[in-house]
Amino acid sequence: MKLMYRIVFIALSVSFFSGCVNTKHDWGNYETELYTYYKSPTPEEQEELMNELATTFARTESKGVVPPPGLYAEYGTFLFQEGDLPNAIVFYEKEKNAWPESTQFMDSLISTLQKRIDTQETRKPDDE
Amino acid sequence: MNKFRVLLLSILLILATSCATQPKQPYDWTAFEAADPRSILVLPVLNNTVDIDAPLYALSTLAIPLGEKGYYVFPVNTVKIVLEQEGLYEGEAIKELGTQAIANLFGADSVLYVEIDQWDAKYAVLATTVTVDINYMLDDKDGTRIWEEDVTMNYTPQQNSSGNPLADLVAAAIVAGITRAAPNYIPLMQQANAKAFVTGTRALPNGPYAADNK
Repeated sequence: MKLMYRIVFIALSVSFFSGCVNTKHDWGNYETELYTYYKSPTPEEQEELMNELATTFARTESKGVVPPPGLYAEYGTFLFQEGDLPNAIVFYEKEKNAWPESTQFMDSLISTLQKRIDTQETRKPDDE
Repeated sequence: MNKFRVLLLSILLILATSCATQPKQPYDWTAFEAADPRSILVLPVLNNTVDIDAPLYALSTLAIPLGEKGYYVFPVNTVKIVLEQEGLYEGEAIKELGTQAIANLFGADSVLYVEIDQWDAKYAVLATTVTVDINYMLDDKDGTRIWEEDVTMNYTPQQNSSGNPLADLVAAAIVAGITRAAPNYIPLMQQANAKAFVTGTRALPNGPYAADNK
């Protein structure tokens, strides 16, 4: 009888704890990494946050689900800050395709970056 | 003697019932339902305290509870950077721009303002208690206030009891020491956010991506 209680108790606590983990989206360590980055906005912390985001994308994409709202765009913005404009655009496009609510914002970011790329390209022949 | 007992009982009863009758006003959801937002733009947090870390804790923890509620949450850091490029570094300057202009800039259905009015840490030997007062205000894209909540709470970092009082005392002292040296207030913000969005009397209705909605 005592064993029975124990089994029921264990089953209940397992379902309770798995309930905690069962979130709608897979956020990875976004919260903690973002705070750490805000606390000390160094290139190293930015790299850590980007790695965490990339890991989250790999995990969600392998399961065939979209990552949480905003994360593709956050990654794109870090790429933009690193000067990788073409790939920043790729991630803004991903955000837009995953979350239609972001369309206007992503379109404005993409067109801004595209203009920068275009002016950089037209400037090049002048330099030579 | 018996009379006395009856009197005492009735006084107790009155006390108990008067405690139980708290004024519970149903929240008016008309404006919220009219706006029916799909997306929420979280703005950089307005800090009315001297604690420089408070708004960083707040901003880092707002996206998850709202996303879990089923809303599209705009990328908080990207929004922060875009606003900074427009010359808007502070919560106050952003607020002056007005909700309509901000919502238009991002194409957002609603805009969330968060203000931290109090963030006081009381250091003691065994535990650090932090008292916070946080205001959450949600406007629709036309600038109409559609929801607000004020969370005041005390937070003491938790430790688990080992069953040994002396060991607990030592553990408590260590936790207090760690909290003082490198405080982690992410759990505090998580609790405050949960109270505002999920468990409070004015918990937000589920958004369009919640499993049980539409």
